[in-house]
Amino acid sequence: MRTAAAVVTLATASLSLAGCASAASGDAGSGTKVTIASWYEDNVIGTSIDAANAALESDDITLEYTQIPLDQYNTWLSTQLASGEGPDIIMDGASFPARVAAGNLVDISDETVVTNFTEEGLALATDADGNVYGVPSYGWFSGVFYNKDLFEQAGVEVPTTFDEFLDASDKLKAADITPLAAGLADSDKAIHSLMGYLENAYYRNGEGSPEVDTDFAYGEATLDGNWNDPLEEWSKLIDHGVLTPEMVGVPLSQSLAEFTDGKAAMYISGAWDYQAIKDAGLDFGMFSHVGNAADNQWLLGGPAASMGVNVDSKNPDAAMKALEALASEDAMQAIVDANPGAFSYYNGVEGDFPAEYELVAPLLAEGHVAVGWDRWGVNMPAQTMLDTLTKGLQSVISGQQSTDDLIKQLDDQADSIRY
Amino acid sequence: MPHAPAEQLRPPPPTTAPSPRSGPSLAAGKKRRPGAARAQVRRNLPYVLMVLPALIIFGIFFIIPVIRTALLSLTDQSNHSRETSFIGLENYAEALTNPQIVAGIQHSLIYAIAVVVLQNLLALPVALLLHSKIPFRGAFRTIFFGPAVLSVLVVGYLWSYVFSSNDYGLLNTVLRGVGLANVNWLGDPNLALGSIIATQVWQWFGYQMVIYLAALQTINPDLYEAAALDGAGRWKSFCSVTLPGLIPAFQITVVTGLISGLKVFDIVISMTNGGPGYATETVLTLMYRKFSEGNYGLAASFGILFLLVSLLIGSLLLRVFRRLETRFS
Repeated sequence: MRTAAAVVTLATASLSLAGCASAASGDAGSGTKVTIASWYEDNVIGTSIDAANAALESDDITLEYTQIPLDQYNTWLSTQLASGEGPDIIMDGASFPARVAAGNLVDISDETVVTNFTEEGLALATDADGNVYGVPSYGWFSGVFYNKDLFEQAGVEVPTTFDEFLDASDKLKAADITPLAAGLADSDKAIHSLMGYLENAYYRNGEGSPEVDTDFAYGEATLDGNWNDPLEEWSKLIDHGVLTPEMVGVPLSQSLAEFTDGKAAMYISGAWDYQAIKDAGLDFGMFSHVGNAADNQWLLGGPAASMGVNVDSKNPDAAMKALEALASEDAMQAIVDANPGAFSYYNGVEGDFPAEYELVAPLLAEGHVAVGWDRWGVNMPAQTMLDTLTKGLQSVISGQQSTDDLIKQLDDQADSIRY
Repeated sequence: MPHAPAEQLRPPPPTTAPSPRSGPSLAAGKKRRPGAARAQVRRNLPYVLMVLPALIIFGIFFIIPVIRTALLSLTDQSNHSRETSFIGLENYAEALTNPQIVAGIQHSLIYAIAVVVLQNLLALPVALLLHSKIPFRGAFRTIFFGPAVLSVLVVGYLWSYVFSSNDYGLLNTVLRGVGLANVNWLGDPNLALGSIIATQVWQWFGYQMVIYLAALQTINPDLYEAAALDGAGRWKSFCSVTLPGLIPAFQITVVTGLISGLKVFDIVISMTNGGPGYATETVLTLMYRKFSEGNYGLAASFGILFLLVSLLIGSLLLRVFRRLETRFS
């Protein structure tokens, strides 16, 4: 018995010593480590992290980046933050306002780092009282990539309104060409299609206005009574066979292959797919989402992931310095350069727009980039609404429910998740 | 000499005589010798120590998380707020009235029952066939067992390509090749769950087959010989000797199959992500979704409800099989 007790004591002591050794070796490392994570792959964010690390070298701070797959990111980050952990610098997209509301981020309103960004860029990271909690990494937008050869083959012009879009799709089908490739099993293509249409046909040129979304976020308006007619109009895409029940059974990767292989004429996407399409050797371009006004088009988009300091960071001062380095002109330029077609909300940083974006470049210059779910985010977790919308649209397209059912579903969901 | 009916060829029931090792504890009514209890503790101590590590691991990784999940389910903890309040059984009330969770329970039950039934319907005849002396039976056993060694996620992603409804879908390419129309395997809400079930039957029936093969090898060949001598034909011999001998294997395949069927998650996530719409959502995918949305308290109540349902079904099945075993032994 005495032997057993001795063994246990020895084992416990050795474990404690091992712990001490580990802590000591950590302290003896080179400088302070600041952690940051997101779903962006190295080719998207790597050069920006390198630029920030170069700037931090004099402060003996190292920025350590971890990539988490997009479909796990929200759960991973939420779990970490709920337990008072998480990376020193929090990056998030549509859920950034939810992190602000949950008190996960440090108020940086008075920091000089925010002065370099435009008001639109900071919108996602600003609360109702005007306090700022983060800065945008860059700006994203989506439009419709099109195959110029297939358009020519079917005698189709680039559509500038929704009616023209339906006509073009009909002509493509008549020429035995699939009008649109969209893997709806695991993607948000239907959401982009719908929200792009609403931005153009309802919020900017129709009966609605962006304030409807803000009122909806605060529970002062419902989508029922506002979205019904435009959503019914948008569903003509299903009637015309542009969005089909078969697409609900197709994964995203296959739909991109359908477009790059020249089997479909259009593909809704953004800068993140540009290189893959370019590498396929297609002659392609991009046009804006369309609505009912050819002279007032809007792209879908806004700030990409915003970055802020974790309120539970063990190294808040180093984390703030790292955020400043990430939000420096060099790092901002690096991330825009790494993503052809992306734009920046940092004053003075501009990206190169490839020739394929010639139709949408003027819209970007005019600032015609917006998306409804960023407006929802001020008072509800927008990602939850997007998840509901993804499933609801699958049900509408596969004929399980009507557009009015979907609207009711969204209103019910919103009622249960407002802050 | 008249033969005894095949039913009478069952092995005799086990005797209830106490084993020599269990002597003192079974000596009911007798006075214990002083120090007997201490001796028994000393005798059992090595066994207790051997069980202890497993018990500690079980406690840390199961008992404590379950208790914490149960406590969490009584709160409104979420990622929307840093404050948490006790809200009693509100999460359970919401979970039980939520139409999505009701549909999720239905899908989980349909999946579990269908997978168990179909796997067993396939596995048993194949096991019987491969138990007999046919050529290449070793190769066939390996081939049928092969899919069971693959990751469910890998199988899910592979089959989502096979089932894809566009031109890249392998199955539809075959259908078109023989002049049939494309089928929307994963996009049609009436077919999606069935398609998922088909992949899991394909992947796991070989595993069940191996369990049946192992059980078949434990049946004493003398019993078949005696049955033949008693005039039992193949069918009678199967019903009176093979089936009773397979009851422990049935118990394993049905109980583990149903429990793991109710826990279905990864194959759904990889093939349909619960879609189209909510057509293939199960209890666990919904729990995961609520967790992802940041509704930790509500997600925890889903988990506890699921645990209770699983325990209930598991204990019911064990009771049924115990009766069957008693009847046939």
